[in-house]
Amino acid sequence: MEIEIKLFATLRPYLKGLSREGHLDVPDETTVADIVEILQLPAEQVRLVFVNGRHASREHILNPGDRVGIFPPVGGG
Amino acid sequence: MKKSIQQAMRPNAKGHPMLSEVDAERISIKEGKQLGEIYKATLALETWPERYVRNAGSFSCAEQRALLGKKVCVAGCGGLGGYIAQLLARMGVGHLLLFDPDTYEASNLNRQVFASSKTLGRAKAETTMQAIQVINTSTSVMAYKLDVTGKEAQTHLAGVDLIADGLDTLQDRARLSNLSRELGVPMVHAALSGFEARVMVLWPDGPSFGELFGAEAETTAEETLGTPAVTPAVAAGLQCTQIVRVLTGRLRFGNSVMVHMDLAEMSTESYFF
Repeated sequence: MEIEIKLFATLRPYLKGLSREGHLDVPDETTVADIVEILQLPAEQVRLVFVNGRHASREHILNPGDRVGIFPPVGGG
Repeated sequence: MKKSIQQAMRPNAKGHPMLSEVDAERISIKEGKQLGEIYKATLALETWPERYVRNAGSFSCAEQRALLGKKVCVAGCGGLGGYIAQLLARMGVGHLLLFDPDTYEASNLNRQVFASSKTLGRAKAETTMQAIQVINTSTSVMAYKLDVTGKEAQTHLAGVDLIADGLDTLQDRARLSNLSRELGVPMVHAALSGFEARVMVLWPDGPSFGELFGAEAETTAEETLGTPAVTPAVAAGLQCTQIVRVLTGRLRFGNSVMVHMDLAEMSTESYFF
């Protein structure tokens, strides 16, 4: 199935290398945690995950077409 | 006082009944009342003080009058906090408490609105207060060279209606959030890195900052991406919009929504917890 990925701030560079930027083909039953592993995101920098605009846990199982947004910790002000 | 105001009020070019700033000051001196009291009495007559007449249509007279009676704690007077203090004073929030333990450094000049070659080395809270007093002489402003989450600051926070987050670390924001919950007042949060920013209203009965964003991190994104001037300016604008909506009762406790803005891509998205 295909899902849409949006990475923010310092996580953006990890999108490079995907065959089609922002899209990822993954097996059924893929979880948020699997995405973190596939994209080789630094675990400590995965602070907030949203699926289709709603806050989601690492165990969240994805469906075809889901939009996954991942934010690192941000402190500036 | 009512009679003096009624005699002096005139419709402005756009048809709003208005009391000129000169007349407001004259009546203030004649009646021996503070300018803010003249503004309130004018608004009670559905008449706009000239200073606020361009708020007409965005706020009602009653809402403008309510803002004049509100007290906001501005936590931090740096990138976000400088703009927050300025915008709230211009919109007519009557009482501002400014907290910042720091002094201006040259690295602040890229974004902090009251950092200048003349203010380097000076205390941020005090400098911001002086700038605000020149912008709006009727705003009551207090400046404290203190960490707002420290013990010493607590004694100054009585009667605060809302806390505006102008801090710059996760740890400090988590503590500020706990403080806002203890006081039972909303905290309007923003954080930024590079050309991205997020803004969120944290309600005292909703989730805390620590629960949503964590209280610590090895590194945070702005250490890599920086904080260019436009990002705190835009974020503070959205923060202050939500602050006046909360203060006027237009925005009430509801969904915990985080708005994320990417200024470079000109995109905005809402995320729900």
